[in-house]
Amino acid sequence: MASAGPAAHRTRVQVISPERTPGLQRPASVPRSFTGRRLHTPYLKTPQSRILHGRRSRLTRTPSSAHPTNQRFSKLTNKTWHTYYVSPLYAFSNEAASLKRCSRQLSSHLQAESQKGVGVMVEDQVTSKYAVFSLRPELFPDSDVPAVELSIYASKSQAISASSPPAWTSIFCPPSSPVMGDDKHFSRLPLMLIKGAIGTTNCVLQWLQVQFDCCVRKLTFNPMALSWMVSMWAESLPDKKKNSDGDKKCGVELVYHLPKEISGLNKVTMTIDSRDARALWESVHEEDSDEVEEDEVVSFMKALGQHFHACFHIHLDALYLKTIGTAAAFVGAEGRLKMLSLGEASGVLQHLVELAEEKMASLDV
Amino acid sequence: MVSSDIKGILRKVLCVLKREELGEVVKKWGVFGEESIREVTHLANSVGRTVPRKSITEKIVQECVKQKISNKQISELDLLCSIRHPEKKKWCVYELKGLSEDHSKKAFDPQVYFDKFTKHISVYFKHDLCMDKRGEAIWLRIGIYDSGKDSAYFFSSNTIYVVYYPHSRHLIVSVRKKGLMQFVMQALILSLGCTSCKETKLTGYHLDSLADLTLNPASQGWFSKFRHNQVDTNPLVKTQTRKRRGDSLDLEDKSLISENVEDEEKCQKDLDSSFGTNKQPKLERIVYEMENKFRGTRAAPRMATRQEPFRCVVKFEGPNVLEGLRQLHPSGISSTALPYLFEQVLSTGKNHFRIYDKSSRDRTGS
Repeated sequence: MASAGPAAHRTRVQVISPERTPGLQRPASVPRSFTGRRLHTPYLKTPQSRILHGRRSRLTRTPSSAHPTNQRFSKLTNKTWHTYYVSPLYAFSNEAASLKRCSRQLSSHLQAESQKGVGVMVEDQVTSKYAVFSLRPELFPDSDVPAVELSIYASKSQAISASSPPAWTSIFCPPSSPVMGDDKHFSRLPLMLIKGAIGTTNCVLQWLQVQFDCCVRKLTFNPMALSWMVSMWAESLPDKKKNSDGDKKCGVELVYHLPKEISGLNKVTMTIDSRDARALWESVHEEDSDEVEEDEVVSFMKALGQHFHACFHIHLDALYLKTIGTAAAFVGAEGRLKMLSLGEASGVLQHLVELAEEKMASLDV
Repeated sequence: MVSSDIKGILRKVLCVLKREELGEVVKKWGVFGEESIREVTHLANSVGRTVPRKSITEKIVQECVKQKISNKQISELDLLCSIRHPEKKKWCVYELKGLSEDHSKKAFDPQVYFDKFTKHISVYFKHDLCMDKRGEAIWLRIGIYDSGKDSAYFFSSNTIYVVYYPHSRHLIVSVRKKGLMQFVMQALILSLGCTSCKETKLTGYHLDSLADLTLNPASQGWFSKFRHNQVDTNPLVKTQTRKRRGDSLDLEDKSLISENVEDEEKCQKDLDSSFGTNKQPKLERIVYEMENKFRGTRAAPRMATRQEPFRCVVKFEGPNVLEGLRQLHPSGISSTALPYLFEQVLSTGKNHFRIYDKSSRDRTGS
């Protein structure tokens, strides 16, 4: 984390207008008017970084904390993300200049990938793909390390005007707790959420692994992890603004897959009314306790299994839990995540970060 | 109509067919001259150097444009293609109510049915109508022109397929726009001479299975062997007896025995008595909307005091759910051969249920 005065200032500017940061070689010598016509006067326009007021000012847009705390996740909810875990990044820095350099390098890497065989200069004006690294500290205000967003736009003009959403987005989430020991050279951003074309994903991951000497792998969830999630979030409430038909959909959903030997039947979906799911959770959960105990999760799942067995004489334990859905989030075993509620999003992400850390800890051994 | 529109429509219609079927369908359609029929059949059935389906389709499309075929002829072709591949559509079963007593005894003339239906449907829509037979079933294809654009009628959402087995009390319908259905239903009610028509809770893609479930409601599961004539053995036909089958399975080494023979036999017997030995009708999904007492109180004892019912929706999905359920018991996933709730599928001919406790409401399996 940059703490020196000037560096911190630069970081802040970075935050304000992430899409602007890697503005490459702006021709400063020839002033241009708003209409794009060259002005043949000695007076130059105020550089944008110094405009204090008006729509074009970047400084007035500073207060990132002006976002209501719930709204900070509005860009992340209601989209399907792929979850990846990332080992500590070597020589990754949050400083604006460093992020800018990374953006430029990744842009040219993507450019090179897209036109294989043709040489590309790193300093070239990239036209086809444009990558932007930016900091998103507002996502995790409690954390020392800000979250990092990486967006890839189809062209530079799109990135600057922010007119269309990026073609590919990813969010690096900070670790749940500060680490002990020497991590001067390593930055830990254990969880990565990715949304976009798989081709771009592969390309970016390859670059990340080479550039920061890290390892990025799909974060998958086993039935145990999924049952923890479904129990923890069973009592979560859907967002208020949802209309009545959305309310109907917002049950607690458990999708079970059958073993391959059974050819005719593929999956069993159980959708529990959210009120009943909450009642069941409250009946097994210790009141006034924020902590979730293992035996609570076990008895929650067991109770559902018993109910199902009483109705259909089928043992749910014998099936594989593949997808869970609650008002807070939908999570698929193969590493897909869709967050539905703004209020619960931070809890969901925190849990996933912990899972990613656990996963890496288990690999270390 | 613009010819490029026709081309697109024809391609869409023909794409459901397999390569081998193209020649046959074109022949049956009877719009082309003998020369082109022979050519298409030859291409479709070529064995050694196979011609891709796409190029044959293209040939047919070219020929159609040359012949300036009419909308009516396209509809006929579409019906021919759909009849061959009913599994591409979603079907829904409707029950006819208030049919006269002698309904099943009167002779059924498809032409009369067709004429009556034409008369009644003309009141509501500008349409085109084709009829064909597939086995015993009478197929009607109703293309409805409900928008200003001439080609719009051909979008498959405006097309309704109605399958009727003469003398039966059910209609099997494939419809995209539910709004159109009430008018078509009115015309059908009038032409079939019943008083009302109700949607049953049976839907699926496999038309023959749906027909099987609705036409033979009393002979499903174990009883199906009576329908398939597997009970009365003809003494003159030499059948393989059970004993002989058992012999061939016997192991040579007498000291090797299977310990679970009894269990396995019992399991097989249970399965046969509930599902029968015949193939199950294909259903893609079975849905239960449950609103009953929570039964998992052993793990969550505090739920026992809760008065409200436990609401949940359980869906079973797969290419052939009933066949899959049959495999559950031998693999140990289910503890009984056929739970009561699944028995209901066969005995009531439905795949969408609402389950209530008898105590809370006197409605079960509506």
